Amino acid sequence: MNNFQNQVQGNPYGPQMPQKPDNYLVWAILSTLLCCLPFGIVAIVKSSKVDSLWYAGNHSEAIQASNDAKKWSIISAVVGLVGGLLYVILYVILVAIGVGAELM
Amino acid sequence: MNSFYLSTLNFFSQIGFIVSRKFYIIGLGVIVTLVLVFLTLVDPATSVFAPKCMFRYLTGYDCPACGIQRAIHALLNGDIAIALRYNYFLLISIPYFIAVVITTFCKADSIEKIRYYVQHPKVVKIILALIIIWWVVRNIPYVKICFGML
Repeated sequence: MNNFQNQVQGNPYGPQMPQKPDNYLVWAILSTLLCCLPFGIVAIVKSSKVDSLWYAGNHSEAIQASNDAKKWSIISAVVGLVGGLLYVILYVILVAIGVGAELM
Repeated sequence: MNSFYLSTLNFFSQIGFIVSRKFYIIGLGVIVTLVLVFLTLVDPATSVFAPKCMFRYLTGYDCPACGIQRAIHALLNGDIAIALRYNYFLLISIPYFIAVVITTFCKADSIEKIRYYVQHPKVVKIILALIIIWWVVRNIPYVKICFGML
């Protein structure tokens, strides 16, 4: 995939300016409500900054905020998944101990 | 190309997994359908197979999204009134989330104009504030009784 070509085609700003970075709002909200609340909220805050920084002209900081929003969404999703996995493992261990105690 | 698709494509290609746009949309549709079927058949209140909220498990208090699985189960099995009592805030969060998804995925110019307002930083901050207010308010016993929350 030619990334430069994608940036140039259909770009309302013209061929030389970068395209607005994605604000990852969808991922931020999903990871907040379904995975990990504290990190998800950080992701939502970073994601809200992307648009305001971009329209204020701060292109590089907007791109940085976009990367941050993506990073924290991923962290939130991973923490949520790991937490869920640990819960399952803990549950299985407790059941195993319970069954073992009954069989003794 | 839609930048949301590009960014997730970038993420997947970084972990070595290349998908085409059609595969992506169909895959998303399949996952959503499977989840809805699962929630219709399985009662999240009693089943082991429904993932539990970590915050509620550790503190005993509800998080802003708690009740969403039970609400969807009740809704898909016909009972709207009970579905609402599991989480009133879903009336705000689900429509807003759908609006964010539509304005993110659709490239049409008319949608782009709406996107500016739906995803505007001030709007996002207001929604975030409402989420936190709901998080606190829903755990007050008096409020729970007054509104018949489940």
